[in-house]
Amino acid sequence: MRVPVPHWPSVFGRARADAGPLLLAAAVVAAITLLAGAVPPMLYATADDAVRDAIRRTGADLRVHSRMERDDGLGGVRVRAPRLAEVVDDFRGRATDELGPGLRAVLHPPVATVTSPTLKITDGSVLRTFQLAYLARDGGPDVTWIAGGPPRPSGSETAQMAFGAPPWPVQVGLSEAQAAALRLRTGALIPLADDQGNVKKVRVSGIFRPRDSADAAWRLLPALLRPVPGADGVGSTRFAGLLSRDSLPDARLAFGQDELRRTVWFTPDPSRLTWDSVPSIFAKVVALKAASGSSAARDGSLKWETRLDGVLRDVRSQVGAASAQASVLLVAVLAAAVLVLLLAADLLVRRRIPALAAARRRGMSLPVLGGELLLESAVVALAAAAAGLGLARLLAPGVSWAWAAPVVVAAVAAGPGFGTIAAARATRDRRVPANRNARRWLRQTVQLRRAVLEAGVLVAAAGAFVALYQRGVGGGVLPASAPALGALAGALVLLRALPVGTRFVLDRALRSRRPLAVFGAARAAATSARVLPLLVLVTSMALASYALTLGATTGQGTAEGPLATGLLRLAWASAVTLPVLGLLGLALGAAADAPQRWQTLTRLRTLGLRPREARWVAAGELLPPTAVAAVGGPLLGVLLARLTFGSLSLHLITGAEPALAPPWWWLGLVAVTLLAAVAVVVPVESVLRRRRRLSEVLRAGDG
Amino acid sequence: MSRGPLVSVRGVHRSFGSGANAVHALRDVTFDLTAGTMTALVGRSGSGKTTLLNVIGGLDRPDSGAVLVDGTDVTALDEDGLSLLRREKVSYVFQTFGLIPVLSAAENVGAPLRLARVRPGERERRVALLLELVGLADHAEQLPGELSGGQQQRVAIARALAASPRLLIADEPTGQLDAETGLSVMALLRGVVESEGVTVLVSTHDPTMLALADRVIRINDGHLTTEPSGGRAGS
Repeated sequence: MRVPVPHWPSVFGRARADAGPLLLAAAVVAAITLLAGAVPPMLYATADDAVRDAIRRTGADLRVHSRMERDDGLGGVRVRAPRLAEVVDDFRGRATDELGPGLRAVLHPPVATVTSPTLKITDGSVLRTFQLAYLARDGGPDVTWIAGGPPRPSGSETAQMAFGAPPWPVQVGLSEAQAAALRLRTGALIPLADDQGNVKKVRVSGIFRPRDSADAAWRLLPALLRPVPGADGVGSTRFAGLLSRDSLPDARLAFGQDELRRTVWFTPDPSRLTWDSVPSIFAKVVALKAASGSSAARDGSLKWETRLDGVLRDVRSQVGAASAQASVLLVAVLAAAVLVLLLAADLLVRRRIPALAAARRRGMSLPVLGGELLLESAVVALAAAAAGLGLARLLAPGVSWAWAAPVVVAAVAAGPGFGTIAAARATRDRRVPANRNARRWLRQTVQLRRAVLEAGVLVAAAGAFVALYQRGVGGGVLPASAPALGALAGALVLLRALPVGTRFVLDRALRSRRPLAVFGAARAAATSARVLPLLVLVTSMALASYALTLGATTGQGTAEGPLATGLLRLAWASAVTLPVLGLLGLALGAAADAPQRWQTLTRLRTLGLRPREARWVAAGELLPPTAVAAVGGPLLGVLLARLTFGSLSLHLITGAEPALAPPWWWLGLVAVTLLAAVAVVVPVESVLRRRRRLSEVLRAGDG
Repeated sequence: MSRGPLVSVRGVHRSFGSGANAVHALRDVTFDLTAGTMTALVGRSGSGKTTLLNVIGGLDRPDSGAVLVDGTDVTALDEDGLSLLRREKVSYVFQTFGLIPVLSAAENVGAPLRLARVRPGERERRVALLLELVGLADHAEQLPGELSGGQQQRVAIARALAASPRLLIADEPTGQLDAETGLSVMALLRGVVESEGVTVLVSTHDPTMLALADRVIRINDGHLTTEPSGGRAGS
């Protein structure tokens, strides 16, 4: 079989003749692929930031406790444990091992603390409390002793403390600020007693200065560095003394068996957290908590405590909601863009029908013709998509082609599809039947086919809304498509209503004495059944209004947050893009109907219509669908917002369920802009066609 | 009764393109049309018939020469002046009818009267009269798409007569009609010349139509090849 070869002169000739519409389609593809290609990676990066920000804001540490091993000796004595610091180190190591590599990778090095119960400073002045604390981490935190030295052991390594013995002495170091506030010097005894009035014998071994007071380890026990206001509500001040590895065993004996609290702290490192790592970390944290020993257990089991899982769950919900809301906006922009591309293809094919029909009559087969058109559209669309994605790569931290696919497919397929059908229709033998019944049957078949398509859209819209209400917006593409499909369904309803409305207006105009109103209304009635232009206008206006309302509603209740800001930016970007697509749709629809419009106007000119009157008639034709879109679109958009916002989980972004806040002034401005565009389109058309003489138009039968 | 010329064409040239590629559609065309007569313009395709009709009706402008219609120099009028001329003195009938598809036959006929701001009652009477004249009184409310080709052309003729023009220009009015219907349309044009006193200039290919004309003008390659002759005047 011979492989069909494109007729290259025809391919290049057509492309040259229709460079304008082709470039316009390319510009739409490039712009939308830029948006669709850049938004997902930007959202991804925003999600990373959101996770990090949530961890920074909440400081969700991971803590693990374990009871200290008992130090009972024979005969009711307690035995000093000289290697207690090493036991604490072991405990820290054991806890670290339990984390697993994934979780461990996003945490700072662990810090082990051993803290005493809170004691009262019994110097008779204002209420002040004191705590003994031990801090241990690989490599710090380091201190410099500016007076005295580190706490030393109070007794021999294997000393024993008999039951009822006097308080076991223990040495602590004080920071400069603590020592100054307490007016204590090295060697001084800190007057301390516990809640039961038992005196504690704690002596100052030295005064220290932290090498790095910003070291995160100090954050765990800030009272070690400076006096801290107490959180007890009575105006107390908290102090703490630093234990050393040597004095920790003495502190153990200075308190009851279970009074010292041993904890290992793991602090997440936000810079190592990514959105991708959240699920596995969340799962590990949940598993640790599930396997955690009971706080009442008297064994050495690990007892995990953290709000990290809750923080991650919240941020997952927020990011999920933001992603879903972004999906809603992206689907809206893509839907409008696809409709605009279909309209552009329709315009292109209308311009080409004579050439396509001529090619068929010269013997070119439909597959070859379709192939040539496909070649042209593929080159244009893919080059534009590559440009859009390349630009997206420059502007965003990555690029995603998946969302751009529908636009590229529409740009590639629409022109060849419409063109092949138009060429087939232009040259087929079938004629309009002479029999009236046959004509009626043909008409009804067309109407039935259209009704089936419309019903399909309505069913899809209903399904999307049901999915949105049942699964929420995060349930996939279908619920995210609910506003777009709702706008499309609303546009179809208005499309059905428009011919009735224009017919009504025409009837009223016929009773009037204004000829221009009659001719404008007549043209409007003649074109009111055109599907694509009104679909583009209404859908883009409705979705633009939806995006504006989403932006205004989210903006009014939003605290600062990366997620909320990103979503707002996307909402505003969509709110700008969609009206532009609507204006483009208006221009394309006007251009598609322009030949018939100006043919009629030319005929009216032969009856004595003046040129300026012809412009009014043209405006009269374009105004009804534009007015329907300008008024119906925003109302439809606000209705869709009312129907869907409850399922978008906006409260996860704004912090509270925001009240619907349609920005009526902006909606009005968008509507007025669309209407005003008619006042631009008509004079431009008039200027473009003024060059053609009436005789040319009437002879060629084409404006 | 002696009747003066309604249309005077004097030394009209019209060419398209320039230089070696220029196509001379009309070359020094000069003739008169007597008021209240029907003149057939005959010639092969591309001979310049339509260009001549357009120049006379003000749809196109000659490169040189003058066209006077009822004493008005058409070539000197601006767009508004030409619109007024078409509204009051000159009307057209085209091969493709040129009706407005969403308006009924009656509304199509009434369109020029609306432009002329004729009062509704008078407009309706005039429309009814014209539809009666063209034999379509029973089809007044039908849309053009519901009418046959011949009926549509009759509506177009009625519309052309609505504003009581002095000159009716018809470019191949029977081109899309079968022979019998075409003949009836030509007979209708002949009838309005008689009844309305309109001057009709009609281009046609069909020699059988010529018998209905008072005069026949032949055009070939932009030249009038014969002086006005033939038709009813010459028969």
